[in-house]
Amino acid sequence: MRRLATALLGLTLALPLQAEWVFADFEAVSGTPQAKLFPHLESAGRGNLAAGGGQLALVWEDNRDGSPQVYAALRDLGRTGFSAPRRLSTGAEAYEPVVLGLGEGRFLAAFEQDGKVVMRVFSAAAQGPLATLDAAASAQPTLAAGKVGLHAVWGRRDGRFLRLVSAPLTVDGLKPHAGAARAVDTSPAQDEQLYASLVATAGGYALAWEDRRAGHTRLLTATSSDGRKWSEPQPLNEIPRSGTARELGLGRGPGVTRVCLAGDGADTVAAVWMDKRDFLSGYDIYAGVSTDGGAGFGANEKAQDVFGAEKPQWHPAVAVTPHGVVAAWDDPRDDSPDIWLAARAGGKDWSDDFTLDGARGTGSQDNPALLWHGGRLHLAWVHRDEQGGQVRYAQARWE
Amino acid sequence: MKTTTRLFALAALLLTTLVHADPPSGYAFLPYDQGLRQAQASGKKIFLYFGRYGCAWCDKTNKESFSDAGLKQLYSANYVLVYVDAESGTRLSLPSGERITEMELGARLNVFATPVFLYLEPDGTTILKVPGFKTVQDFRDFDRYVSGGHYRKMKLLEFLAENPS
Repeated sequence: MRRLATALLGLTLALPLQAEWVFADFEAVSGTPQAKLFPHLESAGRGNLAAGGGQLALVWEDNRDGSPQVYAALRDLGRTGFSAPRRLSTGAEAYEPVVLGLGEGRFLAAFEQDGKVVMRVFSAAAQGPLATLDAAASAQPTLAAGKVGLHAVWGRRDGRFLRLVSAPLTVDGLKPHAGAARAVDTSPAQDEQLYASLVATAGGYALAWEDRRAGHTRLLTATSSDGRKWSEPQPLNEIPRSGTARELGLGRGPGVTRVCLAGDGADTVAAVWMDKRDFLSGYDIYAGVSTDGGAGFGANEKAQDVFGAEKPQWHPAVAVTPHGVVAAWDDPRDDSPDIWLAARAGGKDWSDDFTLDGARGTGSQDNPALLWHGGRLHLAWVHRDEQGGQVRYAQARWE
Repeated sequence: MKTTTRLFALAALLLTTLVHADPPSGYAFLPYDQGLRQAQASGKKIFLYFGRYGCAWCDKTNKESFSDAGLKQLYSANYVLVYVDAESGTRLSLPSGERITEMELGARLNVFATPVFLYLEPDGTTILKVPGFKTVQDFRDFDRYVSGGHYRKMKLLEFLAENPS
């Protein structure tokens, strides 16, 4: 008996420990919660986090100055605690900011201000002038920095519809400048193209967006070697071939929305989105992973586990790490919204869903943003309870 | 040839329009915050229709239920009519002053499918939430329950059991 126990102990010690994401304590980003203060982490592609030059930047929108405005806070990557929020917007109202690391501690933010897309460079020490990205009615910018430079994609109003355009960007010190904007898809604007998500790849850029031109919402992707000429759009979400509604000849698609891309800067690009193909329980989180720079995404994969199957999932974000793709979202499986994550390590198998302290429990925790940088997984989200709202942040190591 | 092409294009356009599942035609649906203001001014309750672009069951509800002239008259008289596109980024103001998108309103109200129909007090408090395709008779029953104030005393199913159509 003793020999058996010793053998089992030896076997246990000999087995490799299974690594997992281990989160540090969460940190408050947007200050103390206050009544009637409403912070929002919303943007095209959920691009609210960026890092570079030893700094992490987080951008969000809230109404602390009496109207919805865009704010940023910076954090030394090696030290806990964020700087006081600094206001980036200057107009009557501003929404949906995204941010990109420029290196040397500088960041470029783009957001909608008074119905037009603007941009601004900032660092811990300085803040540049507000610059116009598009003088026309426009919204929902997304940014990426690749080997061929900086690029932006956003929705420009064309008649009744938003139509995606892209432009190269340059930054001179603290002054950003936009080059000529071109339509991503040159076919006529017949309906909305919404909420694009842009990432840099080894060969240029990969892009995904919501497209309503088929009479229902499809998710489409395209690639570009230079950000100027884009490939023919390819479908990302699979549409079930059968289903009661479809058999009745009603509607054309199952409902998909808010696609988010992340990449490793090389050939891996991951996409996550909300998908209502199983419409009885609302949206589920689906994913596609490309190993050829976004040219093809393979079969759709369900990222979440069965424990959230009876509840709708919302606001998906994604990061590509050396330890696999990580998806984050929120769902109310425990009655109120909490942050949940799942990881895909090799193959097509997704882990059981997991969460972290401070991102579940009392109140609601939603709208996650994710970033992989410097050997850490960076996660931000919005916490709301009776005291008010607060943007929170935590980082995780793979150990 | 040109005429044939034009007719074909027009037919295709009409077909596309029909399956969009926008709010049913002929009804005075308003955006959420505009409807809330109107309800508070008039004291009328709100009928809130959560639809989705390309939604099959919204399409069926529009074609088979909201096409009924009597239902149109009943709901136009009794409610401020509000339509929300559950995937839209259009912004609205909540009674608290918070500005959110139409999709975010759906997330806050846990609108897990479309269509979802909500009956609200003039201040935006939810009275009743019913998901999925509903018949003309269903809508008439919901109206009896809400307009008659029975929701203050009993659940919908209890009301319908005691007061069948």
